[in-house]
Amino acid sequence: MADIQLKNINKKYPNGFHAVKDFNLDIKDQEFIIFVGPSGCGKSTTLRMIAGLEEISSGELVIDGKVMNDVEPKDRDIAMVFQNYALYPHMTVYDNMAFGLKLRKVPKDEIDKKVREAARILDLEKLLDRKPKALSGGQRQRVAMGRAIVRNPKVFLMDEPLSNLDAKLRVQMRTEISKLHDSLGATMIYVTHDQTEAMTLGTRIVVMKDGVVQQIDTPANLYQKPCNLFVAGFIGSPQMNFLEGTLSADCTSIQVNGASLQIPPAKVKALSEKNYGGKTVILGIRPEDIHDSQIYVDTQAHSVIEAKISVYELLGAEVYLYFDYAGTQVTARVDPRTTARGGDTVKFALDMEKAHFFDKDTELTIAN
Amino acid sequence: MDFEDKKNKLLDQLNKATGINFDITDSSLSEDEIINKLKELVVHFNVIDSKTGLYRLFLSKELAYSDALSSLSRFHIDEEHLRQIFYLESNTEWKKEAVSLLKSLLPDSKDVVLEMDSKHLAIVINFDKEPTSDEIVQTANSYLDMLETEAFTSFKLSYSKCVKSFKELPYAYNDAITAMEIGNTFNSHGRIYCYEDLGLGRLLYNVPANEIKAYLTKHISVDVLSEIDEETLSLINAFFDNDLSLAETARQTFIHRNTLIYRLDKFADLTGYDVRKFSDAITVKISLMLYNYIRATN
Repeated sequence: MADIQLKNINKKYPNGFHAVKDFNLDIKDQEFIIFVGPSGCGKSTTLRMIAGLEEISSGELVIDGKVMNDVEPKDRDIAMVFQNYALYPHMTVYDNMAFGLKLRKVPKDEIDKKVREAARILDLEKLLDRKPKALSGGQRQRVAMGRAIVRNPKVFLMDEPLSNLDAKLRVQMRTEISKLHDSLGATMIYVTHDQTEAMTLGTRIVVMKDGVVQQIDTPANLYQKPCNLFVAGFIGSPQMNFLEGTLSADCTSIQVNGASLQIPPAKVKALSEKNYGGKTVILGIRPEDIHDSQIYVDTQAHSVIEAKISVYELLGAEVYLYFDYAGTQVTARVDPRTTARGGDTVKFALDMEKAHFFDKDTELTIAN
Repeated sequence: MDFEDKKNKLLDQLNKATGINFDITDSSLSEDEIINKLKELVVHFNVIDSKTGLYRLFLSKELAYSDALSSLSRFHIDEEHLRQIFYLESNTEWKKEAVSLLKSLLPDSKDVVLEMDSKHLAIVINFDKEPTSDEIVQTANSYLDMLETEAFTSFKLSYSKCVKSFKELPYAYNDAITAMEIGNTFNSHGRIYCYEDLGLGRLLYNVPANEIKAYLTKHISVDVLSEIDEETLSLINAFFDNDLSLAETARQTFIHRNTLIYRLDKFADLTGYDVRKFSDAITVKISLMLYNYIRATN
């Protein structure tokens, strides 16, 4: 399979729009890399530059040691699966998978071998004679995957391939793609705006915003050690809560909306060393790190806030409590056995060991 | 297009249709007469030989309706039928694979894929009942994704409204071309443009250059607009897309509400327009569109 290097890649359109800025990434053979970010962040443009569908304005794309900038898309040994797959309506599943190879004039016996092998991997063997209209949504998506697999490419590029499927099927196909990655041992680059997809599929995730890479890391590190406010807010659902507060001179506590919250020693050290004593910073706390149980509130008395619940949402395995605090809507993810309901005034304990601190101006992380 | 270009294009078409290389070495005819004679020859060879030739010449107005009409029955083309034009523009020269692929996606023998020039294709699609705009966009997206994944060629697509008679097709084709031009000008990152949905772009496209210049000079000058960084521009556009809602824009762009307010304040300081006010938002929206227009046309 393939190693891929993107070196100082830029994409600038003729009208001056700079879609991708100085993108650097080393992708190792068999890695499953995810490009994630909000709409317009440059993730699809980067993928399309790797595919050769967009010209690279500056920088170098290297696949297996060979510079690919000027290599035709069809000669890059890649296969793509995009969001809006279509199947040839009058062709069988077999012919749908074989069509691309026929266009490239691959010998018939080789096509047959590749199609049957892809059908075996995707569990489509019994459906090869069927026409698309006789297939379910998931089966159609697998045929679309099959078209990519038959090429036996070095690299698979996927751009939001599951976006058109309903929620249930999306979860199912997510598992299938993960299995496919394991069985093919291929290098895969996958674009999504869905951070759940990113977290569950990727060996590493590239978080992008406004054409700039924000952080490249494992899913666990992105969640636990975001490098800035954007990554902290983007990764995680419901998203991290952000509260503005002022640190004490010795950084041992932070005042938020009148409440004094004690800061654990490790974070005190980081805040002090960077001279944040007495400054206003942004405190980040994930919904699951806000607790309403009496035991927690009693034992964490040094990090308690009080608020009136505006909305109570029972999701079965958990409850979301929404409340306004310091002019911001805060979400707490608590145990479903909670007695708290909308309209109640409740004490919440913040797990300050898991709190994050961000610079108010640069939005960069001070302490995780 | 000047005489030489027109002449060469028609000679090329004659060459394609007949396999013979033609040239004009001497003629007593005027330039217009030469072009008309060549058109007649092209019509003669192409129309007689193929349905696609008939469509291609008729759409590009090289074949009069009265001349086309006589050939319709020969190619089993209904004069009255619901049809739509998809116009495709490739960023490079399209390849034969792209045409084969599109033909395979269109199993209805009434639908045709037309090779308009080295970068443009057109598809005439027949319908029994008018498709919804969602259905059209879904079909268009699937064509584009298929062309990229299977034929490795990147296209943009514009489309006309559905027309009921064969006679209206050249107008529909013209609308699709206009949609592509306007889309490329005002929304160059888009990939599907609908003539009916061009909105403000369709209006501004017809504004004379001196009026554009005067408007920008009075409101937000090109110099000021060029100072605005892309991050702020994308934030302002997101603010417009979210109906001037601070909360929704902050949520969608994953930035803190206070950060958004800070950036909008900064934009107001630079331009003198506060996009949180509806009237200012309109001025900024129009100014940004005109600025894009100027950048695209330059």
